[in-house]
Amino acid sequence: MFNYIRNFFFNAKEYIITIILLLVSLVVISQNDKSEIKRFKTISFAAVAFLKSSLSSASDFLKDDEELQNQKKINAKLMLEVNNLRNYKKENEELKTLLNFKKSIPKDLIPAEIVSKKITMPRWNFIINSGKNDGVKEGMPVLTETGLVGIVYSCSGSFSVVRTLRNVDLNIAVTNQRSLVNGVLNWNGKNLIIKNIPSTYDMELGDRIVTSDFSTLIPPSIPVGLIVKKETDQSGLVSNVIVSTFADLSRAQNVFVYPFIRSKEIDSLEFNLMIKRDDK
Amino acid sequence: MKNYLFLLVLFIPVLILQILTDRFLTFNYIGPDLILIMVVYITLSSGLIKGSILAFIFGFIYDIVSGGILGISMFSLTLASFISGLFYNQNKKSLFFSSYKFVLIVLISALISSFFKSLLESNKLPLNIVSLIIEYGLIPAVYTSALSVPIIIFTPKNRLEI
Repeated sequence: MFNYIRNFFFNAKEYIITIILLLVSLVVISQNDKSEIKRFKTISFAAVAFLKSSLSSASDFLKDDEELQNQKKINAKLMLEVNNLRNYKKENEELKTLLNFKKSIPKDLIPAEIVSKKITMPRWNFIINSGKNDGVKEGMPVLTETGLVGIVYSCSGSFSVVRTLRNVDLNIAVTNQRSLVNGVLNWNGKNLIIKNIPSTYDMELGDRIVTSDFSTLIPPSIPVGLIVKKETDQSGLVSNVIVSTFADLSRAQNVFVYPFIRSKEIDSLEFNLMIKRDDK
Repeated sequence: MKNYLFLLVLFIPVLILQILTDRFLTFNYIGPDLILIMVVYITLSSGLIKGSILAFIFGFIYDIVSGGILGISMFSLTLASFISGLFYNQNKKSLFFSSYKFVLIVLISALISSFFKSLLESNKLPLNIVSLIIEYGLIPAVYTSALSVPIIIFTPKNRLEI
């Protein structure tokens, strides 16, 4: 009996080893969202990021010069400012000018270059050459001179991973700048889509979609894109709205990190709500 | 052990090439998998054990470097090694590298590994099985196997034993 088992394992050792390796891989995939794995990924990613950075600079024949970089930075700031002005105009029209607006344009955007793009159908991730040493923190929004690109998912000393809008794991609260209808924007593998908007809500083709005041991740009024298609379901009750982004993610090379830090007040309020929920 | 180290060193230029192809030769999410070609080559010349262990390590390194989901490439490359290992025959090694058979084995391994890779990556997307097999399995597999053709052209008959 013992010999039979020993022979079996000896003859099938190749398959047993391979199956064990496959199972280990599956376990690792299922544990990806665990903080330990995330920390490990950040540390190991930081260790190899220099390779991608040097490859990027070696392969980037059309690298922008410093002047162009500065111009793009000014453009990005102007884009944010123009967008805020649109909002101010609307709010003026609605006689809300007496409210105390908080100044939301950052003093300085953190410039960064995309050194690598990891593009798969469900997940577009970028690696940028700015990290904690430059003031980048996890959760900060990333944008180009035309609009939002995504948010910083993890960062090391000199590099950061950006989870872009075209990532199934990223859901962003957005609003229609004209009609102020809110929704949640998500990537479905082919389109950026705002799902389940009641058909009676005012969402027209060509409307500008910006980040919402309700977003706990991203500051309000960052341009996201335009409505290009509206699909109503068979019942006619709800619609799905397809959005085309202002920022060209496939061609983006230079981006800016918006040094936005979440309100501590909101954090503590949410924290208190969570504690109350747990008590119940 | 020396042999493993040698192959790990040999992996570095392939990894660099893969990163460059990810950037320049990927169209509409479809790109070739050069690391898979190397894994199939190693498995067919050295057997399933060495092939799958190295595939696992290569996948691990590539997952870290690419910043993607940790484990996806580990799984898909080990699976590719497993599939190509089914064709391994110690007595007919040289036949694989001098005929279309190598390209065919790359195609089959890439097809199955791309299919499962997409299946694992797209678990949150409403994709149908036909789309997964053809769009995200067959097309990248054909692309990868086309890039493996130079191996059968340029591999000398008294090729390097690894």
